[in-house]
Amino acid sequence: MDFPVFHLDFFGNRWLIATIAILHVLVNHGLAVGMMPLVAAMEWYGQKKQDPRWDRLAYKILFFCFLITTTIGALTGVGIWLSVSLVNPYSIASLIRVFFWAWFTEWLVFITEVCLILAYTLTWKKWSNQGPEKKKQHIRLGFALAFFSWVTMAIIVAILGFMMDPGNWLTDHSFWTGVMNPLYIPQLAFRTPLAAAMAGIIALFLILFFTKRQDGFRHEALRAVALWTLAFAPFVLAAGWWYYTSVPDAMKDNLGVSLATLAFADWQTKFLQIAVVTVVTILLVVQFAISRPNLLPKVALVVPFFAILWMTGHFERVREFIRKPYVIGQYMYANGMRVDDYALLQRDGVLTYATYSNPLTEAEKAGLPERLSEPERTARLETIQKGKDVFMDTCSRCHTGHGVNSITSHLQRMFGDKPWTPELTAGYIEGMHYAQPYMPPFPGSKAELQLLGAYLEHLQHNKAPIPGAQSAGVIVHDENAGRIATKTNQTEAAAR
Amino acid sequence: MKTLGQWLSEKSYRSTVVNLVMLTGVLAMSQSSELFMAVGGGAIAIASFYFLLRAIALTARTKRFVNPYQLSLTWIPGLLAIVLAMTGLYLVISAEPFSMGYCLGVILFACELAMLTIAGVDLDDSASKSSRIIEVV
Ligand code: HEC
Repeated sequence: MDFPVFHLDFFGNRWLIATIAILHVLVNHGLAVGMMPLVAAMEWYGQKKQDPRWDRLAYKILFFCFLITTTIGALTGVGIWLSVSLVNPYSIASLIRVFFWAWFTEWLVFITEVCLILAYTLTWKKWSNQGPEKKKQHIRLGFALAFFSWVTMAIIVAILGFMMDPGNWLTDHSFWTGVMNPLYIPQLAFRTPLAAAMAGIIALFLILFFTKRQDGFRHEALRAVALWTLAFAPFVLAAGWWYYTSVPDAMKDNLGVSLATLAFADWQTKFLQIAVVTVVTILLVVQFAISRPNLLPKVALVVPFFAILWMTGHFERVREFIRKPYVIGQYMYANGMRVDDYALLQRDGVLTYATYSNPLTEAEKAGLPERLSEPERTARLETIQKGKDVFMDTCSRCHTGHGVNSITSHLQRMFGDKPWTPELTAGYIEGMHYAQPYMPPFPGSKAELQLLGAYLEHLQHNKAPIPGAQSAGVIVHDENAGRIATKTNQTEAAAR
Repeated sequence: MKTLGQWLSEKSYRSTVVNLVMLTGVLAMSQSSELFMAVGGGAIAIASFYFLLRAIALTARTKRFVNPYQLSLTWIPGLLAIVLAMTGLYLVISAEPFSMGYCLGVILFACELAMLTIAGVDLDDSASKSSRIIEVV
């Protein structure tokens, strides 16, 4: 609790991360990782066949990707880490300590990738006119760019896999065990052909824009790119299968066997259905593009594209879901608190270690019982203030006050219009991780349960949005608040 | 206005395709997965046989003139159609009649059976074209 609490009370914090992340995955996989090798291959093929039409097409596609990846792609890429570190700075801090060198390498590789795409795009025309030797160099530049795009993804996927299931890192704390976590390779194996197939579909779509209907080259290009897409489609299915058979173990460790089985069966059917629909639509388009390229309409390509979008969205959501109630499997709960620190927190209370307090706004103070004397009112507000701090530190990463997945809607469903007294709610919250295994156990002390209960009771009468530190500011609660994390931070950092 | 008869006779495969679609319709209405399996599977087998025979013949005939890329263009539409038609058949058999999966399966099956037929006929066309080329050469 060394950071002020950023909070979005309407959509919830996860929504912010999910939107940015899905947008980024689409741009990164579809236009960079999958597309750069395709563009380089087109340039190479054009050179080999001495056919300038391939060269022109490849350049147009590259330029489109260049515009999107260097703007939306780069912004959302940075945006993911910015938003995650706003919402859950503790998890990012731990990941940075464990994966310091991976992230450092990632930075170097990313800078290289940006320089390469700049060079590749900007030297295209000039180097092409300087003879075949220079052209060959340019093609090599393209394949180097493709390689570096893939490496940036390969590094990040290690960290994503680690968050779902750290595997043996939990006991031996070594960097390489963290990298080679159980879900890393299956996930990388799935994302690689997915990216290539995605790029193929997008390229087919772009070809319809960049060539004329009557142009014989259009047919040739559609057929060749359809073949490219087809080559990767079986691997999407095969690696998807591999990935999805590796998931249950990770999930069992995180969630407990019975619920994991139930939730997984649900997820499994859905994932499989979506994957089959996606691959079938891809195959249909490929079939059409090869046998009747002149009849292929633009809208036909929108269908597999949305199927892929749907699959990616489901896939990314599931990534979140698998690791519940943790943000780093079995190591750190989604509320940002480490499993190892729980004993201490439950003994001393989370407020003891909280550096910041989240002040109540005037609107949040409304709805107190009438006819309270001034001292009673002050005492009541003080309790509510502390209860709010407990809520912000232990629940607000997943629940809003009155928005998406709101605590008030859950309480309304459970207790209706009865007064939500602390006697009623505190008992539930104490055992909430049994009642609802997606939730971590309550990390605070018994006294804090009562404080939280008093705050929840207040929320029954107060519908004001709960502001985050970004709009209401913070009060430095106790400058001398203990720092629980110091020792564990050192363990994390030393392991790398 | 063209009459239906004219339209059907313009391309050799049109009447076959119409027949296949009607056959699929009858099978779907029968709601019997055994019947669909037997007759639908048979239809796939016949159409596959027709396609494979032509693909093999064309490949053998043009072996020395074509590269692997052109070869893949010969084979892929038909092979994909076989795979997808079987996927459609599988969906039909494994889903409840008139459920979402069933309907999608029926549509996929009908379309892919048609595509498979067309893929076979396409090879006939290109075979006569390529033999002409060979004669000219
Ligand atoms: C890891 C994220 C997470 C944290 C942290 C969290 N919850 Fe939850 N909570 C959930 C999810 C997910 C659900 C289930 C939502 C659903 O099923 O619609 C849930 C459901 C609930 C419910 C309804 C339970 C039911 O049986 O239907 C209550 C009440 C609740 N949470 C209270 C709390 C309180 C109080 C805190 C803080 C002490 C808290 N939660 C912290 C994720 C979380």
